[in-house]
Amino acid sequence: MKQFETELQKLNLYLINMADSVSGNITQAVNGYFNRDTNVIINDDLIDQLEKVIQEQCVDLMVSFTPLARDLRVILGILKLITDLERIGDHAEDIAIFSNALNKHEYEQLEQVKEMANIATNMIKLAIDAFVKDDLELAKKVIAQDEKIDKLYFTLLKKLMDTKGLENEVIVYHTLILRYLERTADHAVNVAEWVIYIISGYHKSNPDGRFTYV
Amino acid sequence: MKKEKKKDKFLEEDLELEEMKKTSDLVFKVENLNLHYGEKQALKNLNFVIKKNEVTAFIGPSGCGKSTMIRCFNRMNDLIPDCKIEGDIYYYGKNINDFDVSSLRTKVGMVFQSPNPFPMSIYDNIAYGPRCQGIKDKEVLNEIVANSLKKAALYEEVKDRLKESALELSGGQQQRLCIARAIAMEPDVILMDEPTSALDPIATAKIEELIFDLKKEYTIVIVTHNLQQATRISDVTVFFLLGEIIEVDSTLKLFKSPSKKETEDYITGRFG
Repeated sequence: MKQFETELQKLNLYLINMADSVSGNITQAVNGYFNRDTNVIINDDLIDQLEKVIQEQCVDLMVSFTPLARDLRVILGILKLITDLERIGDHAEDIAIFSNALNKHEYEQLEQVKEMANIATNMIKLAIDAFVKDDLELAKKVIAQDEKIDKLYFTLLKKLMDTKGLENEVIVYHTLILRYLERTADHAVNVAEWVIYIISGYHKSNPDGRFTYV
Repeated sequence: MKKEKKKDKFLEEDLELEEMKKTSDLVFKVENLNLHYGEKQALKNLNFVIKKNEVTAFIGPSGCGKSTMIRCFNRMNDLIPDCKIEGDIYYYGKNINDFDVSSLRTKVGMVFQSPNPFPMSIYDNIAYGPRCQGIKDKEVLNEIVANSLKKAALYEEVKDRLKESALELSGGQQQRLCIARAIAMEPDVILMDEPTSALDPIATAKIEELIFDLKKEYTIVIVTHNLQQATRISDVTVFFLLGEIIEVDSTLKLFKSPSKKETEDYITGRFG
C-alpha cells in the first residue's frame, strides 16, 4: 500500500496547488475591483492543467490499485471536488471581467465585497485543509460559513437597489460581481461536502445511507 | 422426473423441505457457532444468515475461518478428527445434524479450490452422483448430463467428446465440470471454496459469469481472496477475522463504506 499512499500524497499536493491558484485568482480579481483597474486579466490555464493532471492521476490510481472503501472515496471525492474548484476559477475570471467593466464608470465602492471575498477564499482554504488533515469538524465549519456570505449578498443587493441615482451599468456589474462571489462560496460548500464524503462515507445527496454510487 | 427415483427417506425429507421453502427465504441460519480443532478455536460465536438466491462472499485473511465455516454447511468438518462443533446451523429451519448427511450434501453441493474431476469420462463425472442415487435410465441420465453441462456453460465446448477423459480438459473447463457435477444433484445451495484461485483471468471471468447466471436458481456461498471478485459477484459479504465475524453487509456498502475499522484496514490492504 505504500505506493498508493505515495501517489495519493502527490495528488494532495496537486490539489492544494489547484485550491491556492483558485483562491489567488479570486483575490486578484477582487483587488482589481478595489484598485479600480480596468484591465485585470485572470489566467486560469494552470487551474485547467491541474484539473486534467488530477483527473488522469485519479484514473491511473483506479486502474492500478482498484481502490476500495476510503481509498475509493478519496479518488471519487477528488474527482468530484475539482469540478467545483475549476468552476471557482471560472468565477474569478467572471469577476475580473465585470470589475474591469465597472471601473470604467463612476461609483462608490462596496467595502463589504472584500469581506465576502475573504470569507469565500477562506472557505476554500479550510475545505482543502479539512481534506488534508482528515478533519470532519473543520469541513462542517466551512458549510456553516455560507450563511454569512448569503447574508452579505442580500444586504449588498438591497443597498444597490436602495441607492438612488446609480447608473444601470453600475447596478448590473455590481450585482454580477456579488453573484459570482456568492457562487464561489457555494462551490466551496460543495468541496466541503465531498471532503465529508471522503472522511465519513456520507454525502448529503444520499442522506439515508450509502447504497447509491456515492 | 428424478424425484420418483430417489430413495424414500430422501423423498420424505424433500417433501418436508419443500414445505419449509415456501415459508422462508433463510436458507441457512447460524446460531452461536463455535468450532475447535483440538485446543485451537477456529470459529468464535458466529451468528448470521444466508438468504435464498443470493451470492454470499466470505472474505478475510488466511486462517480466519472462512473455509472452516463454509465446510460446516454441508458437514464436511464431521470427518476431521478432534473437530468439536457447538451451536447450531439450520437449513430451512431444520438443524443440519438432523439430516442424513448424504441427503444434506445432495442439497448443499460443493466446489473446491482446485478442480477435482474424477479420473473418468466427462459424461461419467456428471452421471456419477445421479447413478449413486439409483438413476439407471440412460435417457434420464443423458438429459441430466446435458442439462448440467448447459447450466455450467460447458456443454458447447464438450458436447462432441463426452466420452473423453475429464482430465484432458483445461483447468477452467475442469472447474466448470465440477460445478456441472454439483448441479447434476439438483442442489439448493452451491458452496464454493476459492473456485477461481487456480485459474487464469479468462477462465475466472467465465466462472464469474456462470455464478451470476446460477444465482437465479441457486443460493451460492463463496470463499474468495479476490476482493474485486467479491464486489463483482456477491450480494452480501461477510468479513472474517481470527475466527470471528467482524462485519456482514450488502457487498457494495461494505466495500464503499465499511462500518468497522478492521474491515476498512483489510480491504484497503493496510493489514492482512
